[in-house]
Amino acid sequence: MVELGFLREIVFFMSFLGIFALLVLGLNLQWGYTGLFNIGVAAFFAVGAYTSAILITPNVPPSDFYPGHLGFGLPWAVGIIGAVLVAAVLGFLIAIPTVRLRADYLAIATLGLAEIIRLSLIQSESITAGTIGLRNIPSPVIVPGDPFLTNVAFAVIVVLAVVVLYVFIEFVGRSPWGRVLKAIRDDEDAAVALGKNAFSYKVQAFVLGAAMMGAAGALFGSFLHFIEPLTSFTPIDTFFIWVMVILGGAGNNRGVLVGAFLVWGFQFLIIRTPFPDLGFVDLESKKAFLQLIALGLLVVLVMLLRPRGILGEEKVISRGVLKGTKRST
Amino acid sequence: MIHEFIVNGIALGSIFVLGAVGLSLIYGVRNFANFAHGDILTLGAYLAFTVNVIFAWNWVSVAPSMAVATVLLGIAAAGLGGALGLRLFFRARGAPPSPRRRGLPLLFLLVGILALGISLPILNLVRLGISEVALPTGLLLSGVTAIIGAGLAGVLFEHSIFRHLQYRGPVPSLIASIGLAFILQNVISAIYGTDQRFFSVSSGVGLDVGAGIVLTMVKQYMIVIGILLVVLLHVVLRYTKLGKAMRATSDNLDLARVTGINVRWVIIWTWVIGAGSAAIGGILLGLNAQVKPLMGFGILLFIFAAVILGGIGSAYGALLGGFVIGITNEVSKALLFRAGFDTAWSPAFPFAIMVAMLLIRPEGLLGGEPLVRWGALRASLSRFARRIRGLRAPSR
Amino acid sequence: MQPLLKAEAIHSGYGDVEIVHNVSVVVNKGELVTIIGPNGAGKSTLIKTIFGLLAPMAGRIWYQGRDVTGTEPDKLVRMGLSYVPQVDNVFPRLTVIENLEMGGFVREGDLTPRIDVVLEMFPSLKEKASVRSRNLSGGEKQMVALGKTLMLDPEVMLIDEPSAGLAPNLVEAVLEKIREINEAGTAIVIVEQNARKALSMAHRGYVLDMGETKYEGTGEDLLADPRVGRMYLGG
Ligand SMILES: Nc1ncnc2c1ncn2[C@@H]1O[C@H](COP(=O)(O)OP(=O)(O)OP(=O)(O)O)[C@@H](O)[C@H]1O
Ligand SMILES: [Mg+2]
Repeated sequence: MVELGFLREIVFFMSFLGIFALLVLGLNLQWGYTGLFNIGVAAFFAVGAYTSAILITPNVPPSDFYPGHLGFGLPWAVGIIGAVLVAAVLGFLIAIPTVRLRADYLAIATLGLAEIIRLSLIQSESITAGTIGLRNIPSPVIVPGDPFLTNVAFAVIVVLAVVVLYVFIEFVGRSPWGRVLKAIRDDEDAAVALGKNAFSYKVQAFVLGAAMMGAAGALFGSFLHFIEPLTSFTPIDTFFIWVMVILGGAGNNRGVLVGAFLVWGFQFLIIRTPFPDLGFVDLESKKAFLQLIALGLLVVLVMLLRPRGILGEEKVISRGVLKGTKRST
Repeated sequence: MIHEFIVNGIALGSIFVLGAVGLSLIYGVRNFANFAHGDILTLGAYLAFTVNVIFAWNWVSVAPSMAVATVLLGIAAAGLGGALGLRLFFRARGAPPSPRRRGLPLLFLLVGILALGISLPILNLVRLGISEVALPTGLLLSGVTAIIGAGLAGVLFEHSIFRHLQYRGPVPSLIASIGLAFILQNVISAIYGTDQRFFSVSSGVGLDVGAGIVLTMVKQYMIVIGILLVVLLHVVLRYTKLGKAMRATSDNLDLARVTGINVRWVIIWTWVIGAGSAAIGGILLGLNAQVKPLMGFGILLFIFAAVILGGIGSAYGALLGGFVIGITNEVSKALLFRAGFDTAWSPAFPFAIMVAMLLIRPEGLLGGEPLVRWGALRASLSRFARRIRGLRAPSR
Repeated sequence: MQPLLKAEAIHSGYGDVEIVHNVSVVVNKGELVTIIGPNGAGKSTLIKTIFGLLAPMAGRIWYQGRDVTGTEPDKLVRMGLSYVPQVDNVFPRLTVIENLEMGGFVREGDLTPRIDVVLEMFPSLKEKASVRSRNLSGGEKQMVALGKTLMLDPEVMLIDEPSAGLAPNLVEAVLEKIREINEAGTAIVIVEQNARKALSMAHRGYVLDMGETKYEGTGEDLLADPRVGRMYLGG
């Protein structure tokens, strides 16, 4: 029994780690590679989660106890593909006007758009079930009568997805395309002067990153079987992802995965460690706050002491690249 | 009905103005978007709330042990803050003598009021335990405490964090400010809990301003305090050496340095003024609704919208932007209601204005090239007037 | 006689890149010194290094016999040194008067008398006194930049390309003003693209190229030197 409990914990840990991994890889492509300061991560995550949930969950008409929501009951794979596509389209629509903005304006704009999207999810009650939340989202693989194996199957799928995407991102990151992204990030004028269409590259990176966040959202919904927009998909979620990327080292895929592991591991341990009641204050009840204070401090300290994160950026020479590649684009 | 929404919009707008002026000044002088600015509002509200609760002897909202702890903390903070403030003042060597001579007594005065603000309630506490204190005195003391506390907090943030990131561009400071925002929110949550709190104020008398609108006591305060502080800020920015130096530094920090302006002194005072006015905004927000840990973060986007609408670094722009965003928010409620939509959609309008502004005219209404060339307009008007006079003259 | 300002064997640049190599400049009291040279020669870099905006990689800077290497710009301003940058040299959202007031920031007491003196030197600014300087013409801006610097009645002014981007008649006017300021007793170091004009009004000049001093001498000698003429004065 103890063994199984432990295994359960591992499966739970890995499933969430995988979802975080997709998010940080997506953000790393946008911020780490291309310098696009997106603090609307939660919006793409949410849109992916809701798209997939609506596609794969059966329709629920409104009743006295539940506002109901739209649903198509389609196969699971359709859900994740839909999530990726819708998040990508949203990313495209947001990227077209905004990627030209300088970093701090882009940050404010994406935060504003993310809040509008969250507001829409809350308000569109007949589609999303509003603040009550959308329930009974199915798992990708259901092992009948065995929830544990069902979860194992999920974890395996998530981890596979991460491995595939990691290899893919590493590959494109090292390709001329990825190196042009970094060149644009480091010196956009130089890249443009060498004939690179910086705008088009930025849009591509933004859309690809958004698509990955959408996939993460689809997995998140299927894992919890329940999503709601009041406590999930908030700026706090975006903050978590950013902490992971900053801690690990923006621009370094392995780094951001390490960051995700450390931050999520930290949170996982904190949740499971009982805090003492000191009499005048019960630390257990303050745990969530203390944990966020710690993460906030971590961000500040990393910025002050190790702005490139713990692993830093890999030495991929981006200077020579522009000269090496043809001026075709 | 629309009148009422406009009045509400002005009241709400004055909160946004108070937040936006500070954010815009800090943005201009320090060149980064401070995502912790909303939480400085919250900090101000909680500081005021603490004093207010102690002063009003209101044990309903707070457990006794906690009130005593906050008093002690308050004294410690005041002592530390006063010491730090004085040290900073003396350390700002090479500060121009004249504002320094004027500023020092001012600082003593403020520290004195702070000490008073904290010791008076303790005296009361010892003496009789007054059950209710009239709104103005209680509010004044809480307000002063909040301004000074938040101002010192701002200086502390600058010295411990942002100063060290100064030469690394706007992004590291921005990221650090997000970290700081989360620290502040959660420190406040850890100390006070996430329950909503209310200032202990009597509801007072409503004021009939005609057109069927009765302004509650709190709305009166919001509008009056908002306008008073805006006038005060205007005087500071327009006529004092500090205010001019702040605008100059905001225009071009490097040029300010080579001109001989003591930029560190300007930066410190920008934080004090920015965070102090945010604290007042926080109190008004708390009076208007309730005090809770995410209150400031919740309106951060509105404040950004006001700043961007007016033009980053432009205090007058922030003024305009704050009122426009406040009124937009309230009036859009009225319009949504009429059109049969849920009024909860209303924030979408200010946010949409903000995003549109970033895309179309990121330098803001009052930043960059002027939208209206008053000089040219005046010139053509007077030319026109002259012509009319010229036309009339022969007929006489 | 001890020179007023002396930059000695300066090496300077940005990051690891050395732009200025072993350049020395001397300014005597009341002198007008000009530095000419092609674009990218390192003229601005040299001026910024003298004014403490860039730390020299090697070399020392002396002012009134004191070693001021690495001194912060605002301290130098108090000591009587001042600098007019090549671009962005006025506060755009401040009015003309406010710009002048900021120029006198480190001065104590009432600035009005000095403002009147400065406005007297630039009569064209009088009627624009309360106009925001971003709404001024290029020439007027340049006047404000000079006037702002004159608020402290400095010993030495470092002026970086005051005529850049101005119409030819304005170039004359601005350079003429600078000559007047110099004749009133202020030593001036001026970087100029209009090399002929600058050399003809200067007491002495330096020709900088590729970060090195190619020629130095009196303004007349440099003007007369055929090599300087061929290479740097356009024939
Ligand atoms: N901030 C900087 N960082 C890195 N390199 C710089 C910087 N500023 C200038 N440079 C480089 O230093 C070199 C000299 O520049 P500098 O501005 O001193 O030239 P200049 O002689 O003033 O030219 P101009 O007549 O065009 O003003 C140039 O090659 C330029 O690219
Ligand atoms: Mg130059």
